[in-house]
Amino acid sequence: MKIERRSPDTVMRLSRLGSLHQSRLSFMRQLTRRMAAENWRFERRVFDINQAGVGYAVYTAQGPDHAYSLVAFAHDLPSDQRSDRVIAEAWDATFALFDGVPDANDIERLSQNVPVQEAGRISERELSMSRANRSVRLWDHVVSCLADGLQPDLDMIQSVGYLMRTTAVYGSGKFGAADRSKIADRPECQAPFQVEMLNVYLIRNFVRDLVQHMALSRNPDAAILDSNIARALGIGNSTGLGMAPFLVNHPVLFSNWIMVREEALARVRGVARAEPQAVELFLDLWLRTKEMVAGWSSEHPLQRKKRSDLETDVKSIDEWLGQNHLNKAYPWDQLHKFSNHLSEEGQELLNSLMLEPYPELVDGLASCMADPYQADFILDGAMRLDVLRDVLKEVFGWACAIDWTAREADARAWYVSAEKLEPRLGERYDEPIMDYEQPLSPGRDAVRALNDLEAWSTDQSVAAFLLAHPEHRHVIRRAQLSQIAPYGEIRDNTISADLKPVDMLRAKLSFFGATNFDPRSDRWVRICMYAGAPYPEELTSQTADLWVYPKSAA
Amino acid sequence: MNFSLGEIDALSRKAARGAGYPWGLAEEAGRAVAWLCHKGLDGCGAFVRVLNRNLAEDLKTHQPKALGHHMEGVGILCPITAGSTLSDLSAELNVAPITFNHVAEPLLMLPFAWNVAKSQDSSIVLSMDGKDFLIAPNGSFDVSDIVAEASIVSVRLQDFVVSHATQKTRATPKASDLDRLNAFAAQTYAPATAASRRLGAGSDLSDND
Repeated sequence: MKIERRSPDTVMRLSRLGSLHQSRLSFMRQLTRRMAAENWRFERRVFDINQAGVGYAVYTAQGPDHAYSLVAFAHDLPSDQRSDRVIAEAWDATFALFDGVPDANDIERLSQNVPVQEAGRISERELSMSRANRSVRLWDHVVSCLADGLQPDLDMIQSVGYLMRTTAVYGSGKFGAADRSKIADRPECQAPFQVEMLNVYLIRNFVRDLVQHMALSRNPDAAILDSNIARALGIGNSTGLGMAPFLVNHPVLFSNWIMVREEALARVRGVARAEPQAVELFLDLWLRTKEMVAGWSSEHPLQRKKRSDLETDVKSIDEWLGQNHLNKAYPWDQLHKFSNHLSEEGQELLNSLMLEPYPELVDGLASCMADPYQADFILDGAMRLDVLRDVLKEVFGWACAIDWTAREADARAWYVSAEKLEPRLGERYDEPIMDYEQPLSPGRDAVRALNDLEAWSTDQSVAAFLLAHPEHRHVIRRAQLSQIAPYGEIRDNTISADLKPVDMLRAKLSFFGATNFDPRSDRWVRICMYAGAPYPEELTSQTADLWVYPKSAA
Repeated sequence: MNFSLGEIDALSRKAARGAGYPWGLAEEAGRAVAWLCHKGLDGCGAFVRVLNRNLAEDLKTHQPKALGHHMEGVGILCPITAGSTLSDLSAELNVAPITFNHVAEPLLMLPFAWNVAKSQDSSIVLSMDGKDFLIAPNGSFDVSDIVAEASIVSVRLQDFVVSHATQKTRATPKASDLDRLNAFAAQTYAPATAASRRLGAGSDLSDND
């Protein structure tokens, strides 16, 4: 039985994108699997940090052909300067990922630039730049406990999840870093965001060493952090609106992520019979997933509602699984169909989870998640306007149903603030921002183009239309790109009064492999990365993949 | 100081928008400038000179009046609009050459000619007042003297071999050009207000936890 991929009209809605979960396609898990399979070697080359916690360290990851080094600077940050916002100017720790192994001159140069982040410049030798702040409550708790000869409280560890959270991880040419083209041909960089994920993986190693160092500085006989507790610690991330435009600005890349996940799901749903080992693995991971759901805390009403729905879903799923449906024909398709009765959180949780037993059907697809096309795409000026109209209606038909004269429909506008060049979302009719609007509302723009097309005869060309209407070039390019990127457009209004940008952030972060989504507002979210992952010395093909699922329930 | 090509693309796109180009043309400008820098040519300088002419204030005057094989504007043609039109008409070059009368900073049309070369899988000659600029589908190229204006830019498909294949991974714009690009780009940024600082991006919850 051939199962078709779900249609973009189903998948590309904001509420569903805002309910996506990590899966075996996640970029973090792709990285840990690769590093284990290729037997990467890791080395702490320098750890020169004083008793006050100020200094630097270098960690090198050596792959088959290339080495990558995290250069970490530790700072003594006054408490009143600790902010997750991009408008911050100082941090507890700052980092660069260096391509190769840095020498003393490189370290000196980076020490002048990395600690000030956006106010400095990095070079073509660097692939990523980032910074992190301590979770004050957990950091102090862990240092104090260890210094007192005790292990920290596991419940407290799990309630926070991390000792430090990154507040930006820049790559791809930002602030002078190397363009992606420098590394795009390296096998280990082919999948998206691999250098950024490696950066964070090494940061986690550094943070464990730093907290231990601080405890030992206080008391030379301090306890050594238990490795099981250390493994439960991830690295947090605090992300704001800057991430949301990325999805709109990279439609081919985003489409490839979604399409690969949808193809993987279709393949698994097409499995006629589940082998007993597959069912066993799924049920084991389901138990562990329930533990993960139970430990997922958020104070925000948006997420509390979603979590409460998910708890109801968990009961329904338990009931369904108790009826032995997985031993029947097309079990995963049955599970998928059953899940349509659940909340979107529950549906997408299962859609990710059912991929787990099938690495042979899923993992090879990961090579299709990059985007070698968008930058070279050439707008087709010879396309006839009747074809253009059909393409616009196919991709943006949903937008034609919106009454764009209603203020709620375009209540918001995306703009970039002069201060720190931070993307922001404002109230179009209340703030003086309309003249600065960014092109992040393809639905509205497509309807405008369709309206102007009314006056044109169908046999004329896109080139002629664009000469008269250059303001539609942006959205026509998008519409044409959709022919190679069927999942490239969010099929929802991105400037409506009820837009929740966290849905866009979550969609992207879920592909990184993030867990514990904890919105701090409708446009700001904290997450956890690498919680449960093996540290470099623990990384083997046995530990490299399923670490995201807590082990204690197994 | 040197810059990544991604930075140049983004900066030029913003500068074009700040100067008044619609977003779609601003995107073409960003790609074109970064491409020239990739080829070791002074894309930033050429683009700053275009922006200094303020053509986007009255774009209709500086774009082709109508499509055809011989195009001209009411005023001098902007190379971004002329280049985009050239790219949009790629297939027409199989019928006959295309000429543009009176173009500012015609070097900026070269990246668009490369679009044609790729889409038609043929080498292209851009002849600027008789001086030939060559570009092949694989990106190898040959350039003549760079001029501020050309009375006639003619574009044709023609087989030839060029060996020049400079590939720069960094751009090194002149400081004065960089300042101009930044000044134009700054016009896309909304002045911050207390309300936007509070409401526009963050959360009311403490980060110091």
